Amino acid sequence: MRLLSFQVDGFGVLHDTGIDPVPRSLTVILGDNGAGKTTLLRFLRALLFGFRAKHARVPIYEPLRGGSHGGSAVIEMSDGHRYRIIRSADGSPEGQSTVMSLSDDAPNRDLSAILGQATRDVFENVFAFSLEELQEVGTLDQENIRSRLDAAGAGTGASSLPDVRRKIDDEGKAILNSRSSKARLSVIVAELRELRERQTALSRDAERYAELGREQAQLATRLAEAARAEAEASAALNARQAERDAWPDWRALIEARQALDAVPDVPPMPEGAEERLNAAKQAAAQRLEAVQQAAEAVKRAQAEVDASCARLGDGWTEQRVVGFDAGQTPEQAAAEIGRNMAEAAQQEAKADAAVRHADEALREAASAREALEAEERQRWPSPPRTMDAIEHDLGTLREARAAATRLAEERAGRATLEARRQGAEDELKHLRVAPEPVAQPAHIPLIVTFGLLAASAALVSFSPLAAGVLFVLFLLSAAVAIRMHRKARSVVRAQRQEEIREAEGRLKDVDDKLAAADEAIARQLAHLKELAGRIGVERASSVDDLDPAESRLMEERDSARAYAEFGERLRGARRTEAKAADALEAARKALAEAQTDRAATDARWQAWLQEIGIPAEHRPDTALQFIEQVRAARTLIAARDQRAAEHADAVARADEARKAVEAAIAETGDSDEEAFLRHASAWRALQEARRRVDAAAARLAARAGSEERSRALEETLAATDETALVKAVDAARDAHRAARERADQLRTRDGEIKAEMRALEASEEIESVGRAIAGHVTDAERALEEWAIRRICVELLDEARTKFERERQPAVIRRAGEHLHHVTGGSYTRILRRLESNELEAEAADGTPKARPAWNRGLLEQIYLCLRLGYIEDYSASTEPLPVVMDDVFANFDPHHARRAADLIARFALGHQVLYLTCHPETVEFLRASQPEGAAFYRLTDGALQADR
Amino acid sequence: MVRFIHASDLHLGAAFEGIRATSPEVAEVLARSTYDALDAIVKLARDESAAFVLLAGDTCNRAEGNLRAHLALRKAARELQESGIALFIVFGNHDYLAPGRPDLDWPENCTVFGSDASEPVIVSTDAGEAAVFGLSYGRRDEKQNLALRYPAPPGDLFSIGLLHTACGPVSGHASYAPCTVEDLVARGYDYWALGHVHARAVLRPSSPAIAYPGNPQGLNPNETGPRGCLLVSVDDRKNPTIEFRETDAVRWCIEDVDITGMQRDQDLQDALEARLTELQGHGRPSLVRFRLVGRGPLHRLTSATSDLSDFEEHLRAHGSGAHPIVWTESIRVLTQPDMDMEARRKSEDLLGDFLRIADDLRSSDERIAELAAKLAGEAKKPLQEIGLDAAWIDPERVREWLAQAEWMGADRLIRAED
Repeated sequence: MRLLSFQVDGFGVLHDTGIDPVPRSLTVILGDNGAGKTTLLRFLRALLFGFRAKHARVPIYEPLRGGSHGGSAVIEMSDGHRYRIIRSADGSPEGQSTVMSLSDDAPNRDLSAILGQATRDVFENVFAFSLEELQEVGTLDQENIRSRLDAAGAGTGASSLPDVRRKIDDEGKAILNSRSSKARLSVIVAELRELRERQTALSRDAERYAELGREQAQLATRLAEAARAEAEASAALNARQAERDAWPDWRALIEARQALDAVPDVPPMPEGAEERLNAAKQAAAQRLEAVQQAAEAVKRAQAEVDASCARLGDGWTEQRVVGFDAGQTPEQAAAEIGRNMAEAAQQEAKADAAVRHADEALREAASAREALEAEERQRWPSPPRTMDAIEHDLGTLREARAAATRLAEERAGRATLEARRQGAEDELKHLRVAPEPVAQPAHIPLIVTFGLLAASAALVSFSPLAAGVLFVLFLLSAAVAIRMHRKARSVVRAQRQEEIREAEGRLKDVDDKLAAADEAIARQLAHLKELAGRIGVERASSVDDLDPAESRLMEERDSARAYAEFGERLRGARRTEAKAADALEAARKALAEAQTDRAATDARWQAWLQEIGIPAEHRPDTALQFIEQVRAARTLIAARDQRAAEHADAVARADEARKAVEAAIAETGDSDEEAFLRHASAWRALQEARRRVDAAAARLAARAGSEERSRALEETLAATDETALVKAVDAARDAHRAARERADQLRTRDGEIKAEMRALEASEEIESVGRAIAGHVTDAERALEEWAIRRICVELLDEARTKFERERQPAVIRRAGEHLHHVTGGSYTRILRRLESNELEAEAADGTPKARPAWNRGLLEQIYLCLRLGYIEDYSASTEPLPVVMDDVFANFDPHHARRAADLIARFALGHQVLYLTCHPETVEFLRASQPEGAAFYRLTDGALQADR
Repeated sequence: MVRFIHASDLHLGAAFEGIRATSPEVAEVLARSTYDALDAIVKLARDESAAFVLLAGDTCNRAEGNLRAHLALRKAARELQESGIALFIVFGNHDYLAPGRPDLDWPENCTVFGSDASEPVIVSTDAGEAAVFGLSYGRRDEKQNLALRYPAPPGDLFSIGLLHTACGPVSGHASYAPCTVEDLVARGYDYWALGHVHARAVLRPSSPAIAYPGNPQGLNPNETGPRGCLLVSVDDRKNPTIEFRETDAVRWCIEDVDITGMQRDQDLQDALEARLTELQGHGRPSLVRFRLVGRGPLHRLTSATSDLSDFEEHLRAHGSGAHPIVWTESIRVLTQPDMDMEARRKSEDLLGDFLRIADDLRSSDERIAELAAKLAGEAKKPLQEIGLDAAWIDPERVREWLAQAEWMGADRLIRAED
């Protein structure tokens, strides 16, 4: 692309300036320091790539002299299509870019499409640079110079390739580095080594298991032998111990046999004879005691019977008690009669209370009636008038009050008429004495007006004729006015006479009405007095005169009403008194009936007592108690008879027991009880001796286990003594302990072997170690893969850079060398890059290479200028070219080199659009002297561009 | 009809190569899985009323030391004996007859063929008799063609050759006891029960039938899909019917997730979680390796190791709470940066040079081989220490790494530009 024109709206000191058209080749702009050259360079950068990068900290050149921030340019692409690029501020660091197509057939392109692979870095470092960038580049080392150049060709960031390579290489070395124990693979391998050693150790488990199996098999035989020996020793020990334990029993048997031999023989006692005798004796004693107890009981029962009969009273013997008969249900009969007696007494008491109550009520009613009569006499010594008479007088009073009201209305009407008559009289007097009214001279102003008008006209025209005419007219007017006045005065006089006649008529009418009113008032007054007289009012002429009569009548009516009410109360009291007297009479009658009933029930009770034989003094409650006492006495008599029967029975049984004792003694053949007891004692001793022999023999047999062994045991024990037995036991115990310890040792070992084998069988460690190893191998493989990927990536990057240096950068350097040859006038013929060292060298005319450290400042800047031009040519050969902007980049050159550099730029501009900014007039002259085709020269003063013609 | 089970390569107590850190729960499931598979085989034999079971080698993962595995095998033999089922075993390269292997007493129903067996064993079944012959490995790296040592089968009996072998060209397995299908056919047996190759394969359906049952339990992330054994039913005319039966306790899966079109981290997370949910449908614990493929903005997320680790941890937490467990073994990144690689490849700049160099390298087998050798040389020591030989870095791997290196370099250069 190339610039066809550009326009700065506002950018730093630049304001509303630009160049149109921009030459295809060279544009030289001369400006003093501070005129805005660098600002213009920045503007062209900003136009294409934004005011600044997103995170850059560089000024964005806001307008200082007005205008909108930004500007525009018209560009032409290599394919001939034209676009307008507008850069404006929108608050973002870059600002907003707008691309407008200026050709009908131009494809839609955004700014990135127009700029192609060019980036801000590429443009700032290669295409649009100042002496500052040139010098800054000059201070960088070889690696960074190359990286900038690499970046320019790769379309990537300035330092991307070395940084990317170094980072990836570092990542690879962090994984695989034979000199680092912390490298990932080193760590994994170390852990893997330990795991494998553990696995090897665990692999011996199977051998150990087989070895244990063999040992266990051998041990089984030995263990069986030891167990058998232990069993035999145990049996021997048990035998000796049994002999030793049997010794006391043996001795007991011997002694029992000796004791039996010493006991004399007696006839055998029948089985249980002694027990039977003892039982019979015990039974006889018990029955004898029972006889005594029964006799005591009979005695106590008789005493109770006697006491009970005595409590019933004289005449109550056992025979009478036994013969007492109160019937089947004496309680029921006594209760029924008793209830009737209680009810009769209750009715009598109730009737008596009613009599007392009725008597009291009568006395109270009489007292109340007497009190009311006394009050009546006190409040109304004479009876008041009747309510009808009073109401009649009140009706008369209301009529009188109406008549008085009408009278007052008549009087008020008359007063009104009187006032009207006075008004009519006053009006008439006024009309008769008032002066005649004057007619209004309404035409006088008209006359005066005309006169003044005429005078004015005369004065204006100074014409005598006109004045005369006007005077005549004035006179005529005056005559007419006088006539009109007279006519008006006669009309007014006629009107006054008519008014006087009307007033006189109205006065007469009022007088007639007054006379009629006086007559009506006299009639009403007479009627009022007649009514008032009826109700006792002697003098009445108005409503107020009736008020005392009304008050009196109202009081009289209230008194009559109270009298009537009191009379009603008095009549009520008299009725109450009469009722109380009736009630008293009825109560007295009921009392007499109740007393009769109570006497009848008492008689019935006495008859019942006599009937069953109970003393007459008993009341129903005590009578029943008495009956109970009789019954209790009869029960005691029955109990005494029962005790007597039991006593007889006990005596009979005691006799039977005595006979049983005699039979038990007779059974043994003994003569009496004493002989019986001696016989029994001898027999028991013999039996005990035999039992002890049998028990000792049984214990010995039990120890031996069988009868046969018992005999053998007896023989053995008979042939030895206790001391020898103890020694034999000790010896057997020692032998058994030794055999058991031996077997236990073997059993312990067998258990250990089994436990170890079980542990080996259950062990999963070798598998878990195996899994851990596998996991580590996997980790290692992953690490190796990650390392290999990075290693290959580094290889590719290295090869790419090598390729770049061999096939792409040398073209740049070759062109740069050609330019250096021109600038230095042949002092340096070319620039070289040593691949083995990757360092740049300038080759002098004599073939001597000069490496970077030997370059002076001028040569360094010349080389970097030439390298940029070479890059631009190389870049433009394959990519959309960009305009080149240089800001005084050979200001440090001596005049000789500056002239050649200017010539180089002029020639370079033939193929590439160049804008050269400088503050040095001699540079302009150098460029002008090179006679570049189509070049244009401008001067930049205070932010404005002007063509320098 | 004779019915038997043909299984191989149980690798009891296997280490599960290729698995990185797992949770205790998953580790337990894995540790138990091969034993569970053995139990499943025993149960299948009982349920199907099989006459006998054939184990064609590598039943135990290690010849030495792996006592637990050998005891488990003996326990299985005893259980089969209780059901009247015979068991025939040959040992392979993993459980060869090493001097240090556990010396156990095997029950009477169990026949363990040694490395020098000479006579077939006749097994009587309800449907008639069958002859079984096998040879175990006497050493790990058995290079002899053992098939040639198999004696002629007896008479008219249905004859079975039990052999752990690399029959024909096999991929991913060492060529132990190598033989060819023709070698086996020539021996005259009716059924060759092979072991060694972990992928199920029926090399010949009949006359004779030659089959690899594959391993009953997948042992590493590449052994995906259902795993099990073969149930073989032989009719009266000696024609076998071979049916596959699943026995795996844990299933391996490789799931490709395409990031193309994804804009947000959440999109990727949702896609991964959805896959985990689908995998629960297996009805058994699963271990899944996700491979992220495609090109898009999320490449920058997936290529960041720390971000990817966070994703892995999240997915493991998500899947381990499920029932059955779905454990994310790893997430492998095969994504490409979000750039027009073809356009970049044509550009005349450093990046273009970089991509074209990668292209050139990829197109040259010779250079790939040189690069593999170079890498193997640089990594010689760690390879040895890990237990890998130089051939582990083979051209196939190098090509895969080259692609990732190409994407990595391009992505980093572009990122540096940003």
